[in-house]
Amino acid sequence: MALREVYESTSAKLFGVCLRILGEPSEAEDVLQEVYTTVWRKASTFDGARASPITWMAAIARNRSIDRLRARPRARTEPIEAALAIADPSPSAETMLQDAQGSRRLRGCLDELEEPHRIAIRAAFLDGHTYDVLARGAGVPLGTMKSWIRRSLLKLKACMER
Amino acid sequence: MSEQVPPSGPEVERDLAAEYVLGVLEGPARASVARRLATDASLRAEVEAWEQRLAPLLDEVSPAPAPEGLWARIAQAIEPGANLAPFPARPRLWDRPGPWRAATAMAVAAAAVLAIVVVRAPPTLSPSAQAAGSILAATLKTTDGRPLYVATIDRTRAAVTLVRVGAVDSGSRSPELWLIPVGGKPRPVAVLAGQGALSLPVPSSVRSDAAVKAVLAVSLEPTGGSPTGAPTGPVIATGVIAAV
Repeated sequence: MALREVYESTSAKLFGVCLRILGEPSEAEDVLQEVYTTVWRKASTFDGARASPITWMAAIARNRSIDRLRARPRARTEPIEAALAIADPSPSAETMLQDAQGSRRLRGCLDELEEPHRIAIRAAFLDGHTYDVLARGAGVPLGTMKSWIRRSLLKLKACMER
Repeated sequence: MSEQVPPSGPEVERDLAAEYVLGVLEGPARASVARRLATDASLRAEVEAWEQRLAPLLDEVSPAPAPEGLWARIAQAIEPGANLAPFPARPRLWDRPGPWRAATAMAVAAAAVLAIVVVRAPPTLSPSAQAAGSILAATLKTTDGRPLYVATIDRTRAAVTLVRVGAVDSGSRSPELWLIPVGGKPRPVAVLAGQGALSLPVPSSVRSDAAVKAVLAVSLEPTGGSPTGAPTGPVIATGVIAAV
């Protein structure tokens, strides 16, 4: 039963990913169940030559969580300050990926961004915030936030390909 | 929704794949990218590249123990009616002093995901065949204990899947995989080309030797592999085969 081993070695991390985006343990649990049944169903389509398994599983967990977040009724809005509540933590000593080099490169490239832009990129990826929430959190017009993010993504790509 | 362009900002080119992976798209825009992924291979490649680029950010997410009982529900959802818990005790493939042992846990996860692929491929594989130990695994480590490769061997299909989990500086030489039977000499399995996961046939000459307690090893050989049929270069990683 290989899936149980996958579950044992990855569920705490993936639950952390879902919980960070959704904030509600019961919702995160529902999503995590979907994640592993999806992993099971789609394992045969996983292409080990192109992606690492954990990156693939983490992407499924993030996408499911974001879809669930977006499907929430509008009444339950995100705290506006949420996007700003993200500190700029020192890099974690633990490296989740095998690719320590990619991790160092990403950190180096993030450090080249202006601080508000870096914070916005982090908050978008880790917390699943929309442009709108990010803009309100940073106190800038929506168009400015879109411009920050798009320009930062282009810079990151160029920097990481250097 | 009007889009205000900052006065001083240059026109910013859109990268939909990047915005999708970052998670900032909403509604129809997000749904449209998700739909196109099924058919648009170049978009899918872009999305996968961004997933790889941004994945290290997830190091900042604190792990949280998944709720009790969730595994049982997942097992039930996958195979309704199957009595999947409690599981038979099995030797652990790794120690778990911490909640998230990065490289080693990932290596095992990698092997396990690939084992799913391997195990699921032949629909006729009976539970007794699995119980008889048709799936074997080995973590190949350097002399200082750093995991370099994780191997999963499916004896039913005579295939070995090898996932590189550590940096290998092979220079211009070719890494070659060897199987060393208990009390025997190294036998060549395959020259390792490329990155990521490799799925290789186990040559018929060594099939019966791929057993528990035999050793897998990788050495660095001249381009194209050892000219003599025995390792000629330095051995960079070894691991003992165990039942999964």
